[in-house]
Amino acid sequence: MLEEYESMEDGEKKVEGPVYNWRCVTEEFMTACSKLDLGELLHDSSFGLFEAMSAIEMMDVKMDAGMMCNQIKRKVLTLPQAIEVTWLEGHSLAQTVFTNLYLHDPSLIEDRTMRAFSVCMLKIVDLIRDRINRSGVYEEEDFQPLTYGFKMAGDVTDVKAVTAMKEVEDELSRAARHLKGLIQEGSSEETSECEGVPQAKKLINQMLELIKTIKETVSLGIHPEDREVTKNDYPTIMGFDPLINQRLLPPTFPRYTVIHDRGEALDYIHTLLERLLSSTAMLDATNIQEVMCSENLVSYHHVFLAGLFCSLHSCPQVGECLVSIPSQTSSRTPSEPLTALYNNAEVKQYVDALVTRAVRPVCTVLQVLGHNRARQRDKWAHLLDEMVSLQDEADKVDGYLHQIQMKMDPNRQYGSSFGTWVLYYTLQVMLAYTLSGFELELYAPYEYHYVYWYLYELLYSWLYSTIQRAETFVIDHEAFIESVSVKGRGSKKGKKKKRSKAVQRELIICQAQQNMFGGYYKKLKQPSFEYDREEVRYSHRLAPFACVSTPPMVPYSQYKTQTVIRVAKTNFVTLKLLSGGHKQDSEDPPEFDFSLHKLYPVIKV
Amino acid sequence: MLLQSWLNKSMKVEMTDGRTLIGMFLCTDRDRNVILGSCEEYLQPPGNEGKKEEPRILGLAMIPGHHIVSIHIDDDSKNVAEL
Repeated sequence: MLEEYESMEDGEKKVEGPVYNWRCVTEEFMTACSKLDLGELLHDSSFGLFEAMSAIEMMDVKMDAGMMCNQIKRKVLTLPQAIEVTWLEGHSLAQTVFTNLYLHDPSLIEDRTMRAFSVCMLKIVDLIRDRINRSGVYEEEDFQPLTYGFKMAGDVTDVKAVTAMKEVEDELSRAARHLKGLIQEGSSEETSECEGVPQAKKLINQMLELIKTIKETVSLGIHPEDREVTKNDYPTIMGFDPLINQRLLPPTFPRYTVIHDRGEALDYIHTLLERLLSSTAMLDATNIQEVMCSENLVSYHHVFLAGLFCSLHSCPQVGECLVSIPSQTSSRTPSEPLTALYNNAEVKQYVDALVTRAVRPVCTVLQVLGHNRARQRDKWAHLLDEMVSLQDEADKVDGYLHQIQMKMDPNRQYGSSFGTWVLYYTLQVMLAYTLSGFELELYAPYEYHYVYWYLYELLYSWLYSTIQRAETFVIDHEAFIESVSVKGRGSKKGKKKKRSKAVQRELIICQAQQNMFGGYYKKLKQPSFEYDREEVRYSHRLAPFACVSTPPMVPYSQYKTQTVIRVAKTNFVTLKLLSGGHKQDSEDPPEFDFSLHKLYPVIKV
Repeated sequence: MLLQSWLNKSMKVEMTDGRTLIGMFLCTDRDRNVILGSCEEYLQPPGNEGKKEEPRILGLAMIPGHHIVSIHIDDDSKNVAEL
């Protein structure tokens, strides 16, 4: 493919190949220009202001990627690892990893050590690329999957590469062993998503140890010369040429990539490994809630890679969770249809269809967490649409099940388990959407008032009641099962207790958050809108929620009437504080300080 | 008018940072800001002895007048408008 590309370009060159006959007209041009009127544009009839607007402005720091001053800041180019890290951070493969000439065709390298090392690098890059592609949580700006037709050492198997690595291990420094670890980690994940994890965990720990040694020995070996970088010489060590792949890049591509130095790169790998380690812990989570919780924690670190590996780990599990719904009860999943009802062929068909339909949106919930923060917000809004239609279907299934239940056993009530289950996720998505606004610093201080109000009055209170409802269903249902089965297995009781404990915990967290937001809301004074319309802002902020039928969008008018009552209370508290002589001489309004936590600001009067 | 006659001809502009741009002259104004179409960027002035440098394709580019060092016009290339 590479050859094809080259030959194509050669062909183009032949067609062009213009021979210019340049004549210097600088002086004439300057004088002619100065005769133009101020603001007058000299142009052809076919060229208008509109075309002129779309031109790239040269020498503009933002628009002109090839600017010379953009090049001077370049950092020192070093170990392949450093380059790999730069690639991991979202730069083009051709500009990073493949600036190492050795990697272009490792089979040509005669030195055994170097060859094994190069093959390993290629393998690792390929594994990572494959992983990222499969989890699908990147956008163009985050990660560039293009390989530009480079061979990723596909002819060499993982095992072979590892053995080759082992052979040179004694000769070479420990960097080799580290690399071997990486590739093994990758392949162990490859072979068995879940079973390979304990082994991977062990390997990660080993690598963390090795990083220390590598850090200590970084100062050894060849170093690039220290010199001022000018336009045509780059600090480089043997085997690297930063411009080697320039021709493969698309035209508007940023020309120069800053490559990390070794120290930074090792730090990066270190944190990456630690994050991977924490993400493996997630597999112990028994239900989706725990997964989401830990995933949230991990991806708060803003590095999308971590989130990405998380979603890789958890996706198969989610599928499992969902598939097991009809037969096994997980805390929020509907357990209703499992006995007599589920034996009804038609019911089975409906339920299975719904579950299959639900797999995608619910998996997406987890996948979205792998995206970077700004993307997440868009994705959440988008996901809501899907949740709405899922909710519709769940309600239909619920209605149908209710009918059947009435026919079979009029004494027993069928709760809307599926509807509740979907509602739970819808609320989670809405919450994620609203809260992400804080993290991305989208809300202006005068908006806090209604955002907090919405969180407190609507979202968290709905979430609370939803969890509670689901719990009641489960308890009712289990009581029923126990009353039916005369045998009454003792083992089941313990399981139930454990589960409701988890639910209890979630309920408490939910309530605490609701109260937190309620507190902030009440603490805030109603902002004054002299030249602005709050209603417009309100509707705009919450626009994605308008399509959701349950919970319904609370109109602005309702927020307004609610506030009138609140204002009295808020003022009462504030006035009481102030009348107590608190901050008497200060005229500043209370400030919100988000430096300690992203969601719960510290209020400063 | 002189400027008018240069429209749509190939133009070579050298910039203050040493890069050279070659493209079709499309537009200018009193501050000597120049817009070139189908513009190519060369890091070294082309025509230099030595190996040929691969240009970077920029497309439509505007060069602010105060960054222009020298301007060359191609006498041979035919005016596209005439063709």
